[in-house]
Amino acid sequence: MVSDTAPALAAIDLTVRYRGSSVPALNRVNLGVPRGAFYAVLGPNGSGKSTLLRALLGVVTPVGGHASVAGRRVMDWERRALAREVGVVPQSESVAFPLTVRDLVAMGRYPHLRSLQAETPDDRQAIATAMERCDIVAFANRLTSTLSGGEIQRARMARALAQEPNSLVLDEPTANLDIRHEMEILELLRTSVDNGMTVFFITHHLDLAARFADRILLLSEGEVVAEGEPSEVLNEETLNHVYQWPVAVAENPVTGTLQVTPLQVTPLPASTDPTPRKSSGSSRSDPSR
Amino acid sequence: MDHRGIKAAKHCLFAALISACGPGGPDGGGVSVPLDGSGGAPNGQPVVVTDDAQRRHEFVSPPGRIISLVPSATETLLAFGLGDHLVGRTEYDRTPELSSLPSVGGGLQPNLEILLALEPDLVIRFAGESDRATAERLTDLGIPHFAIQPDGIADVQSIIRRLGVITGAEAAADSLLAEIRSALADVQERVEGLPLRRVAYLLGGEPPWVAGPGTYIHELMILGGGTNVFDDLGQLYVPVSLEELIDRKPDLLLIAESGSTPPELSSIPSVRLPGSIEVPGPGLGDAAREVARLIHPEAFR
Amino acid sequence: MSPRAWSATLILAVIGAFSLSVWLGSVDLTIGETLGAFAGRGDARVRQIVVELRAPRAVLAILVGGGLALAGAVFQALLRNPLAEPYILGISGGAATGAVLALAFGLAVSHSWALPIAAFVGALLAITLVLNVAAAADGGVDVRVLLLAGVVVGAFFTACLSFVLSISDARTVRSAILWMMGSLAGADWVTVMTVAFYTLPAALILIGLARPLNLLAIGEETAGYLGTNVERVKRVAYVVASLLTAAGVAATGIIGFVGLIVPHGVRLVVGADYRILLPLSFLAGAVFLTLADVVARTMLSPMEVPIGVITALVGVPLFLLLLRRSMGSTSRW
Repeated sequence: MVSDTAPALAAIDLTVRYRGSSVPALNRVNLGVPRGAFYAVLGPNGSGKSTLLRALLGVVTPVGGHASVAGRRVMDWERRALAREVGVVPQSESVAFPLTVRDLVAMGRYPHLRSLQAETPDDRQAIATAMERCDIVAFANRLTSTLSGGEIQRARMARALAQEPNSLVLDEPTANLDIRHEMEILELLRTSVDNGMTVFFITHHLDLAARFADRILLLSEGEVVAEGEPSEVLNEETLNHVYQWPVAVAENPVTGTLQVTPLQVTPLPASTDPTPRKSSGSSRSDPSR
Repeated sequence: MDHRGIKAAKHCLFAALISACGPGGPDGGGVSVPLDGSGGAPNGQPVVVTDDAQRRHEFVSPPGRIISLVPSATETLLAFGLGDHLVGRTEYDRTPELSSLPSVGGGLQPNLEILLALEPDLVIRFAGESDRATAERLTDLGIPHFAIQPDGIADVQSIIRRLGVITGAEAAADSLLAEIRSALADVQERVEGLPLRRVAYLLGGEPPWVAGPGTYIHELMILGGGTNVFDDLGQLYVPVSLEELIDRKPDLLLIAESGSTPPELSSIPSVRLPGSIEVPGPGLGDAAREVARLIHPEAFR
Repeated sequence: MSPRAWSATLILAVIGAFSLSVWLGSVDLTIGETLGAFAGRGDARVRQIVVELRAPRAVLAILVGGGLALAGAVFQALLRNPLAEPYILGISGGAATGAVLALAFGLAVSHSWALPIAAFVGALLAITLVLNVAAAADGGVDVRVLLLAGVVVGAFFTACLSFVLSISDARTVRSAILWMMGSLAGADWVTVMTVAFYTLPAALILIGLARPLNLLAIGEETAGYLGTNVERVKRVAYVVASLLTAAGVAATGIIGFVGLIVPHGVRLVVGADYRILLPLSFLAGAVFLTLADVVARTMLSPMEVPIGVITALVGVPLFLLLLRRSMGSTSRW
């Protein structure tokens, strides 16, 4: 459902180097997230996923290339306008002073409000809807300090939804969630995408990415290793190389989508383990098998 | 300084002090009308006096409602017999004759509400205080104020004189000054020719604060036939190390009423001064006598 | 009680505190005499006491008390630290050093304005120094560095101050100590106008920053994602809150506890939304300091107890009471 020709988020030759580091965190990254796509970003720890998110949103200044949002360079965007265009759910936050959940979600409306302007009925509606969709209405008056990690995650998601943005950018949003809440969020995202929202989603969950994403970007050591549909990106050779661990890729019999299984490298003590194992024996398997 | 030089200096000092007692003395400005002994401005002429903040004041008639924020001025007015002209006191005026008067707080930064309510026609205050705001507020509120700076012997005499003029009590002032003059002369005579004793005045503290030249106590020491071992200090009161103190070989230590002799100096004879001596005021004559007696007890037998 | 109800209550409390402050004092006046003084009737001395002495003092207490509480709330958001208060970034040290130098050089003798101006200049020096240390190469302000720089600069000024005092004469030391303990005694209408000139625009600017300050509380990165120009907000908040504090300190010396306790107390009662917290902190601070001043003036009349003593002795138990009550109920802290 591409409603605009310009990609929702794009990077052209993006290179980012942190001060004091000789190695770039991102090296000549090119990507384009089409409007209305569910776009997942995968990669091992330290591959530059979070840096990519920051650079795309203009938080980090690149030393080469540029990032753009909705066809305009991110550095040219006025901040509040950018906040109305893109909603961000960061990986973590520390709240300095106790806040109710409702107040936290209400902050999603700040980009729409002038300095001391009070909330309008539209704002209240957006907040209520967002809270319902994230199943946190019951916590509305509780303080964030009393919530579990997963509950706060949902509250942050609600805040981003309350911004009523055209794109959602999420950094490992389901990290602390149980199955139910994880699926609810992902189905929520999928529904939003079906309704025109663009979703940019950083995750470690290869299977979920395969299942829900339209396109996947695979990063390794600051560079793009592969980009495309899940079936193109998720193949054993590529993944073994990137993750430095042997994996098997197969079709999940229930969902029909790809499933990635990391293989066992160290042998179990000889016992009753009935699970069929693939190519064990060698203590350090050659990833480029 | 050798012995003869010091003696010469003493004579000069003494002469200067005595002459300060006479009419038209060094009070920073003139009294424009010659005095008669009857008190009160003669012929209804206004009296003009300059205070120690270099401001000229004109008094059409002697003030009848006085608040003195300066203890030595208060004592002077009491010595003139003008206790009934005082309408207020400070927290530090605790003599019985004053205790019935309402207090305006401290001498610095007095309670302005109470001051105002007492409707004084003259407030006597410290000149050169580190906070000028009080003086300005008194001016803003329309309360006449007269600044005095009772730092040394000459100052005290000048203040007695001027207060006498202002309050029309010149006779009392002159007699007080005459007493002082004679006391000072007596002291001078007694210690004449006696060998100078080396003296130091300790205010207290660790390390101890001592008095340098320019302080009242220093002048009393010189007058009393002593020499201040710290007469080379640039400032009024300065902390010095115990070593320095011992090194200067004082023969006598004068200790402030609130201070104490440091144990390391217990081998040096020391005397604690009564508080009344340490503050410059109309009791100047007695103070000079007392200090001289401590320095040269042999002259007072 | 709703925030609106609290606003109304506090506004009435300010009016009440002002009224008490002009009625009560070292000299007993009837209410009639007090009102008459404002209308220009009655004894001239009474008029002077009420209009020249007490009224400017009460207004100054409102301005300085409100300003300190407001600045305290802003610093708490900026530094993301509940222990932050207006003096934590070296302002009091700088101001005190300026004041003591003015006293030591006898400048205050010739011009009574020298003391507040010197204090203000000292405060400005501290503010500039801290900002320069904390500003990174790209102009961003790292608040952790800001806090550290502030504490260190404050310590440096305190050392300078101690040095100057140690070589000064007794009179200077006494005046310096009295100044540092804080007092509203020097209030006249000119001082009040000057302080108002700083306080009112600063208060408006800071209250206008309420939403960005709310966002700072959940983190700079998220605040940026929600449309805040984080660096600009930090700088403006820091500079304006500092100037507000400096103006107060220059006029009254160092009055402690107001900037720490009042915002906390207000937060315990109405929560952490700065759109409500900031204006209510100003009002509550104004009431608190005005009433503290009444106590300071009347408790041991004719002597005045230093107001910093009253704010601590009264403020601390009051705060502890609020804290206990809030811990019992919905644990807003």
